[in-house]
Amino acid sequence: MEHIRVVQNEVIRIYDLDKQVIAVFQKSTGQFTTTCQLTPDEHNALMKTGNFGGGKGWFSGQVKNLSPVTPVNSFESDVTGVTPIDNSQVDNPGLLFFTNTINSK
Amino acid sequence: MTYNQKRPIQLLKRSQDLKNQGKNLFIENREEDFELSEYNIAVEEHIFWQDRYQVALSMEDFLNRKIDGKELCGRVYGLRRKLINTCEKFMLELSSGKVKDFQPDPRSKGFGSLISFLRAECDNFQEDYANPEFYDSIKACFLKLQKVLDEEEK
Repeated sequence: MEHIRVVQNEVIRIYDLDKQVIAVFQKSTGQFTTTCQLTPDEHNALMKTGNFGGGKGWFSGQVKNLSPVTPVNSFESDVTGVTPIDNSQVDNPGLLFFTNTINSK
Repeated sequence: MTYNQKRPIQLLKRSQDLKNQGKNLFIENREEDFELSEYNIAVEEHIFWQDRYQVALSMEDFLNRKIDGKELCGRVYGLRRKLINTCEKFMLELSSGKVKDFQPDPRSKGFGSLISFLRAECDNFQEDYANPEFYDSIKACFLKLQKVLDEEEK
């Protein structure tokens, strides 16, 4: 079982590698928020940095929507139990897990 | 970047073969996944470049108060959806051999980050599009884009 797990404070993101779609959940409540299909550029950025806000190329330095991400070791404490994911989904190698803070404005 | 005509097709087929086996290229071979990503990004940027005037016009309309932030973001999300769909269709055609001798427009290099930036800002300021910071951010972005378009017309 291989996952990328990145944790910040408020949001958990589950990324389906095959469909390149992210599902976003509130960490505190486990409530589903939204889904977002990524562009190739965003997919690449997410895989390399854990963020997908368009922070390179022409507009580098302008994007400020996502905080730097911090990898964590404890999947169980940070994800399991607060998102509606069952074990079969956790074992799916096509799903990657991220959490992040929405620190906008 | 010279777009290799054979390599992305090889990678796409390998990615599809793995999918059929319930596996994923990123998990099996990250280097190849990143390599495929680079080819996909070149396609994305080439396609999105063709919408550059439409993007600039939408931003200008917002800055001139002809449309509000909600309308601007609606257009951004729509363009982004169209971009994703067009990219997927194009990659299918590329892998099936329907598209031959593709070379991305060199001017499009790095342009894919524009739509990601706009999407991120629309997400950031959702329900607060009247925030002056949103206006300033779009303005700074527009000026950068306008400079590129001006250079193109010279």
